[in-house]
Amino acid sequence: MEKDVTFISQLTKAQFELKVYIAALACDLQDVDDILQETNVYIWRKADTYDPSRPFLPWAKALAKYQVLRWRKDLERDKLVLDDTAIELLADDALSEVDHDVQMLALRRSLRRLTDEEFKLLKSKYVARKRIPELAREFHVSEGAIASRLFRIRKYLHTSISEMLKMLRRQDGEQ
Amino acid sequence: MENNNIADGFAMPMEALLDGSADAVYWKFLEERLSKDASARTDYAVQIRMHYILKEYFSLEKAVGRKGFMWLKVAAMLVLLAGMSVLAFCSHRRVDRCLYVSASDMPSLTASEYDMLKARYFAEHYDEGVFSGQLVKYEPGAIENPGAAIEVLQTSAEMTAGHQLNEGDRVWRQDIDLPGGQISFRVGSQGIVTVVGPATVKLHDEKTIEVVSGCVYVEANRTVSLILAGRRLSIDNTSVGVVAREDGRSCDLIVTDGIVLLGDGRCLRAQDGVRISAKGELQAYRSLGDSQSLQCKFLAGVTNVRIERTVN
Repeated sequence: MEKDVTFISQLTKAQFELKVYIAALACDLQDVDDILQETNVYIWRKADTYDPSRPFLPWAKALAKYQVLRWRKDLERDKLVLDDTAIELLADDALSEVDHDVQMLALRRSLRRLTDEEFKLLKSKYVARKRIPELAREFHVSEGAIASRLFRIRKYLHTSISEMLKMLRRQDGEQ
Repeated sequence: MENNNIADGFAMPMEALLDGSADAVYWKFLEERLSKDASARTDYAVQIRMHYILKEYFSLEKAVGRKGFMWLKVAAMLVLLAGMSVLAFCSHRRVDRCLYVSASDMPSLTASEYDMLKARYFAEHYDEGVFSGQLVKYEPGAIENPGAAIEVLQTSAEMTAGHQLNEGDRVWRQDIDLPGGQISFRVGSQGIVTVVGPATVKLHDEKTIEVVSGCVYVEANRTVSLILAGRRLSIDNTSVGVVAREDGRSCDLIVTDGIVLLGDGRCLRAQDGVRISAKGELQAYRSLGDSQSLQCKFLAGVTNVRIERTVN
C-alpha cells in the first residue's frame, strides 16, 4: 500500500516532464494529452518492473517513448522526426531535473523582466489564446515577426530561469 | 540576441506547430531542420518546454489571479470586494466567529518544500535593487507622498486610538484601536493586511505588524514580519489569519496559503495553525475547514479558536 502511494506520488510529480517529453517526441501537440493518458496507464501496469533505488523520471520517459512510437505506428507515421541524438538532447535539458513548482516560481520572476509589450504579447497568446494571424493584426506586424518575437521571448525566459536555478545551486553548494 | 533559427525562418513553423496550425510544408521544413541541425533541435526542445510552462502559468494566473506584477492590484480589488461582501453578509446574518480546529503534531518541511522556499528566497533577492521599495521615514498622519510605507485601501471603521486613517492615507507607523468594522491597508510592497474589529494592532514599519488583540488577515506578497504574543514570525508569499486574545495570554496563527517556517525544520502548511503562548510555548493544530472557507472566516472576523482534542 505504502509502495503504491509512493509510486503514485512519483507519477503525479512527473506529469509535467512527461508531457513536455511526449510533446517533443511526438512533434504534434494536438494528441499529447491522449498519449500521456495512455502512458500513465502503461506506467501503472509496469509498476512492478520499476526499481525504487533508481530515479523514476528516466524510467517513466523510456515507457513514454514506447507509447509515442506506438502512437506514430497507429497513424502510419512510423518515422520519428527526432532522432536519438535529439532525444538525448531533450533529456539533457537541465530544467527537466528541477522541481516543477520551482520552475514556475523562477518563471514568475523572469516574467517581470519582460517589457510591457512582450508581456502583453504573451497574454494575448496564452490567456486570450489568439493564433498568429490575430496576433499579427493586434500588434500591427507581420505573422513572421510575431513568430520571431514569441520564439525570442521563450528562449530568453528559458535562459533566465536556467541562470536563476544555476545561481541557486551555487548558493546551495557554498552552504 | 539574434538567433540563426529566427533569421532563417525556423520560428514560423515552430509557432505553427505550437498553436496547432502547422501544415505539410511546415512539417517538412521542421523534419529536415531537426534531422540535420543540432541548434534547431535544442531550440525546438526549449520552445516546447517553455510553451507548456507558460501555458500552465497563465492558466493558473487566470484561475487564482496574478501574483507578481499585478498581484497588488488584484489583491486590493479582492480585499475591497471581500470587504464589501463581508459587510453585506454581516448586515443580514449573524456570523459564527468561533473557529474549530483539531490538535495535531507539528509538521516538518519536505525536501520539495525546502527547494521551493529556497527558490522563493532566491527570487526575492535576485534583483533586490530593482524591486525593493524606497525606504523613507514618514511621521504619522496623512502625507501626500508617493512611496510612503503604509497605504490605507479601504476602511469602514472609526478608530479610537492613534491618528484617524482614511482611504488613500499613507503613513509610516501607526497604532490602530478598532472597536468594530474593518480596515485594509497595504504594507509597502510586501502585502495586504485586513484588520477586523474589535482589534488592536501596531504598525511598527512598512514590514512589521504587531497584533495585540483581535483578528487580522495578512496576504504577504513578499516578507511581512508579525509580532505575536511577543514572538516575531516572518511570513513570505503566504497568507495567514491571526487571532490574538485580548488578555495577551496567547495568539493563534493559521495558514490559509503557503508555508510558514517555525524553525528547526518545523513548518505550517495551508490549514495548519499554531497557538503561541505568552511564555513562548507552541501548540500545533489543524483546521477542519479548507483554505477558502478559512479566508472567508478571517475576513468576517474570528474572535476565538477552539482546539478540539483528538482521541486516539
